[in-house]
Formats: sequence, C-alpha cells, structure tokens
Amino acid sequence: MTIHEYNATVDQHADNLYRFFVKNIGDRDTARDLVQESFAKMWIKVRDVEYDKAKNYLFTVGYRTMIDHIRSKKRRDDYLSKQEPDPYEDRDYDLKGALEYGLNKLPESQKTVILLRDYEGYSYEEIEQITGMSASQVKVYLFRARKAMKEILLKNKSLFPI
Amino acid sequence: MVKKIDITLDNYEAFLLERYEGIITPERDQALTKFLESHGKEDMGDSRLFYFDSDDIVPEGSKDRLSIESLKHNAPSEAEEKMLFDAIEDNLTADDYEKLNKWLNEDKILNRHYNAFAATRLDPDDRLSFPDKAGLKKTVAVRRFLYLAVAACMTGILLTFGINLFNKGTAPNTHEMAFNQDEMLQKDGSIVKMQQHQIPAAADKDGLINITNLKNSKEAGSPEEVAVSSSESKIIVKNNDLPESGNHKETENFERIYKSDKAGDIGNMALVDLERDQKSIDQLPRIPVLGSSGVVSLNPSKPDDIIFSNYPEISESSNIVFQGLKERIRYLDRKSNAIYGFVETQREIVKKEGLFDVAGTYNDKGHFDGLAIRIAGFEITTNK
Repeated sequence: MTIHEYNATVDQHADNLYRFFVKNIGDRDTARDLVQESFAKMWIKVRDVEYDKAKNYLFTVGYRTMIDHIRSKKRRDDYLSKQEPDPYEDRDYDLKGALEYGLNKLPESQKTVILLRDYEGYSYEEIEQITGMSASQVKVYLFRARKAMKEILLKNKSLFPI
Repeated sequence: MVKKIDITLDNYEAFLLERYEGIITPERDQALTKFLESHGKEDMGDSRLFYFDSDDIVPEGSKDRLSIESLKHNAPSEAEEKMLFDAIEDNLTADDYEKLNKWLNEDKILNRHYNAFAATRLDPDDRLSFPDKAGLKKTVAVRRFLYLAVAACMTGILLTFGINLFNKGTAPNTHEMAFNQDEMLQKDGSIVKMQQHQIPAAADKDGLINITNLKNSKEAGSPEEVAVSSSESKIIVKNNDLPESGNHKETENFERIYKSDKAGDIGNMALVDLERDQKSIDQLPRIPVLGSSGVVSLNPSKPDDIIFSNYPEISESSNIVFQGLKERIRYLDRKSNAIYGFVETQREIVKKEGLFDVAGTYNDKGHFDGLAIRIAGFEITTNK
C-alpha cells in the first residue's frame, strides 16, 4: 500500500472504525485512542498490506486492540460493572433508545459480531477472519445477540403492541 | 397382547385430562388409578382443576388470544426463532420465504416476534465521525524528496524570471504588426494605411516627430510622440497609444532599430530585425487553445488561420476583424517557445551533469575558494 492509499484508507474507514469502537466501548475518548492505535499498527505494516484488503486488516487490528484494552481495563477497575446501563424499566425508550440499551446489555463478543455485521456489512466469513471466531460461533453469537435485543424490544408494548 | 402403558410424573396429568374429558380407555384408566395410588397422588376431580379469580377473567373481545394456536405461539420455539433469524439474515430459500410469509399472515404473535427481530438490524450512526483524520494521515518523508523539492523551487523561480525577461523583449505590439504585415488596422471607425519599412516623417530640429503631421499625411497610425534617441539608428516610441494596443499596456516604451547609410537621415532609415521575428514565429511550438476563448490556431505554419471552436461558422482566414486574436496567438507562441526552450536547455544540462552536484571551486591560482551547488542546471557558488 502506498502512502496515498494509506491516506485514502484513513478517509474511507476512520469514521467506521471510530463508530465501531464507540458502540463497543461506550467512551469516545477511548474510541479515539483505539482508532489512532489501530492506524499506527497498520502504518507499521503498510508495505505488506494490500489496499483492497486494508479495511479488513484495519478492523482485525482494531478488534484485537479493543479486546486488549477491555481486558486490561477489566483487570484494573472492573470495567463492565461501570458500564452497566440503567434498568430498562426505568426509562421510556423509543426504538433507537431500546436498541442502544439492548446493545449495551450484550456480552462483548455478541456486540462485536452484530456491529460488524450491521454497521460494516461483513459476511460471516469476514467476521470470522476479523475476530478469530469460528463460522458457527459467529452465527450463534449473532443469533443470541438478535434474540436478546428482540426480547428487550418486545418488553416495550408501545413499540410492538400485542 | 396388552400394550404396556407408561405413566410417569411428567405425563400423568395428561391422562387425568383424558379421564375428565371422558375419552380415556379402560386400560389407561386402570393404569392411572394404580399410578396415583402408588405415588400418593389424589384424583381431585375436574371441579378443582381450574380456578379463576377476577383478575384472570379475559376481557370480552380478547378471547381469541386463548385459542390453541395463539397459546402455542406465545413464546416461539427455538426452531421458529431460528427461522425468523434466518429470514432477517437473508439465509432462507425462496420456498422457505413463501412458507414463512404464509405462516406470519396466519399468526399475529409470531409476526410480532418477526417484526421485533427485524428491528434489531442496526443502522450506523452517521453523526459519529472521527474528529482528527488529518492527524492520522502521513506525509511524504521530507528528506527523501528534499533535493527534488529544492530543484523544483529553483526551476520555478528561474523559469519565472526567464519568462519575464523574455516577455519584456517580445511582448507583441500592434504597431509592429501593422508595419510588418502592411495590414489594415481599425481605430475609431477609420481605416489607416500603415506602410511597411517606412519611417513616415522626418524629425524636427529637436529630434521629435510631430504625430499631427503624421496623421495629417495619413501615412501612419497613432503614436503620439516619437523621439529620436540617436540621430543615427534608434527610435523610441515613448507613448505606445497604438491602435488595438489596449491589451498590451506593459509595452508603453519599446524600441525599434532602424538603419540608414546616412546619419540623421531618419526619413530614409529602414527597419531591421522584423524579418527575423516573423520567421521565428512560424517555427515556434504552438499553444493551440487560448484559454476559454475557444480560439484555435490550427496550422503552425499559418498563424493567421484561426477558427472559433465554439462558432466554426464564422471561422476566417486573414480577416482583420481577428487581428487582435492573431496577435494574441503569436504572443502565446512566443511565450511557449520561451518555456519549451528554457526547459529543454535545462534538461540537456541535467542530462549531462546530473540533477544535483556539489563541488569545490578554485581560483586562477588553483587555490580552493568556495563551494558550488548545482541543482537542475543552476549553480550557486560561495566564492567571491
């Protein structure tokens, strides 16, 4: 990949990667750091990465960087408990809010899979490459994620009346 | 042979129901009685089986929710949910879709689950964008292209100087054109004949030529004042208020060299060096299109043949109406020649001597007296 292609990759995919991190981590500053770290890692390998595979490479590096970050964060200050959203029943959510709530309730692996699938349009095989999960794992996580979110949505009888 | 009847704690209630509904067979009824006795269970009769309080009474009009099909689908089975999931994920065949649609039309509750499943498809939040893309981008390493950048700058500067110097000496003027081509020029609605190679009048005792006399004699155009700087050979047109000179204000003063065998005989001087200019024009590289004007000079050997690319129907050859355009073409031809010639020269130097070089310089006595840096054919030295 040339320097111009690298810069084009920044233009094309920095926003997507940032959204992926924000939705996964829930913190914009951390997401920003992770984007910078991911691109820095790609720059080191810029000569080896082909331009047409840059997005996959970037998300693979980004995903691993994010997992490393979450693990270290968990060890330090029980990260997940701080990220626990408010009880669903306490709020009167619209569809978007309910989805946001449902997404935040998902385990990390399910959240990652559904974000890669819906935000980036990746196939099961591509998600498999990025996350290192097996194809069946990807499908199971995606099913569980959608089912869990569906149950949350169904609790809201104004959104989905009986 | 009597078939063995397996009644267990998991299914005995189903047998009880059969008994209450009166459809139980004698064999099953007997087996059920034995089972209840052996497991300490009591048959309380159908009157004790269902008990409703006021909260459990289903409102009028909602009894269809208690239909067997609805009750069956209050919570879709795992298999049903997987089918709904596959529908959302586009993993179903056309036949499966058809079956599913039929199914969804018949079952409102399953349809509700399907809609909720479909709503779990997330849309990216386009409002979220990375705030510092510029900070992620890389620029070309400076060291690698330093020499090239310096060379390019120097070339640019020198090109600019070169072109300006060239233009100073070659900017077109209508006066010359008129004399040179014996063309008809138009000014203020009147046509004035310009005669080639002719100084139209003699200077007075102070060396000035009175333009009024020129105009009265109808032999020349419009120079307001002509001074003789040398009694022998040089005439400077001080005020170049010439016909159609509005486009060339930069040539307010210009020189023309005239020669005469007799010193001071201005009237018989002959204009020189115009033929040289005329020949070189035809040999110059062309700049065929004049900006957005759409004017094209097609033939390098015939600079007067011009057409309007946007209006081909009014294309003309050697028509005085287009005199200004022709002149403009010639001007650009000269300019292009300057650029091409200059670049070509520098390229030859670079080819022979290299793009970049540093060397010591030595005086006449062979002593070192400084450094010389040569970039793209241009040399800078530190010696005196």
